Amino acid sequence: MHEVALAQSVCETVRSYVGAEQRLLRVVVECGPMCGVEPDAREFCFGIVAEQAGLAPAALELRVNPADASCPLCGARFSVASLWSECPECGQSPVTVTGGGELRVKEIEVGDV
Amino acid sequence: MCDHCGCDGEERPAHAPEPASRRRIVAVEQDVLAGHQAEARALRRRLAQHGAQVVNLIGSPGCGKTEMCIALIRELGDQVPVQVVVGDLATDNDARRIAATGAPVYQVETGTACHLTAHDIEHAVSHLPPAPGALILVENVGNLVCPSMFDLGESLRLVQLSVTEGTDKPEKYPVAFREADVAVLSKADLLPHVDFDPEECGRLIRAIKPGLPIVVASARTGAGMTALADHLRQLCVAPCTSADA
Repeated sequence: MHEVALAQSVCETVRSYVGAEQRLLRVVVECGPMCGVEPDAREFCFGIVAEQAGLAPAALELRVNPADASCPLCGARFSVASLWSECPECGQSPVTVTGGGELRVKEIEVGDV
Repeated sequence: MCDHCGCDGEERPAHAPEPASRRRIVAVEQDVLAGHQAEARALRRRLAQHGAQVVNLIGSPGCGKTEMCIALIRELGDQVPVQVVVGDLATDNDARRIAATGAPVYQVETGTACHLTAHDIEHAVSHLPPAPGALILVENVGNLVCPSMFDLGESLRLVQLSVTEGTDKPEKYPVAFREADVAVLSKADLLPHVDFDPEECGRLIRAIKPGLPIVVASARTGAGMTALADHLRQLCVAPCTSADA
């Protein structure tokens, strides 16, 4: 359940972006498929963690972006949703996946108190 | 007539604002782990000033991390000062086993947390100041998922998989292997008794991280331990600074 620790980090990250007369409604986090986050677990606990952190019980929107990859055989470049993917050109597996470990707060939505 | 609510427009009563007009989007664009990473970088720099380095040992519960720490102390203890930090949810059982070797050890009881953080290591070294040139072996909380995401300020990350766990473990838990600097297949003395294929396991690991050094070792018999200890000795010769670049 490192999702709880990550949810706490998300709260600390966004805290200074919520004005005194505002209430946090929603947080949008972008991540790669290899960031190590289980989306369901994270969504489950975020509202509770946010409330405990003194923010509103906000919703979390997790957007999983594909990772860049290339084929070690034919050199094709493409995007993948998992480490275990085939080259769409020549069928080679495994492929070389670069990135995919990102975990970033993109934006928040706030409303008036 | 007002198109919005049908009033005659003369007195212009305040229209109820659309709820959406009170909501707005604020761009953040910040890494979630930025705070943890900054703390890890600062710790790595501070330890480097004392010539000390952290080795982060990650593996499932029961894969033999404590026994591996003891075997590494045996291999390296007469050449470099080895200190150990052990993380568990509860008990100091592992710390007591390691203390029997004579190496300084500090137990972190994490309560409910499934991983150590750089902050835990800061805390540990404040109780157990590193000797000049020390290797600080950190036995992370037994878990092949969560610890992968947290930089402890280490110079080397070891991922440990025992041969009793199954050949396809890397396929199921790829992030731990992708983030490692060395992989060790432990309990190799049990290979004749279990259905584990070290070559296939190695192929899966290198599919995740091409070129990752893999050592097949037994802490119990000492097989492979010299090769594994060599990876740690190299750290002492050429301290890692690239992670701070």
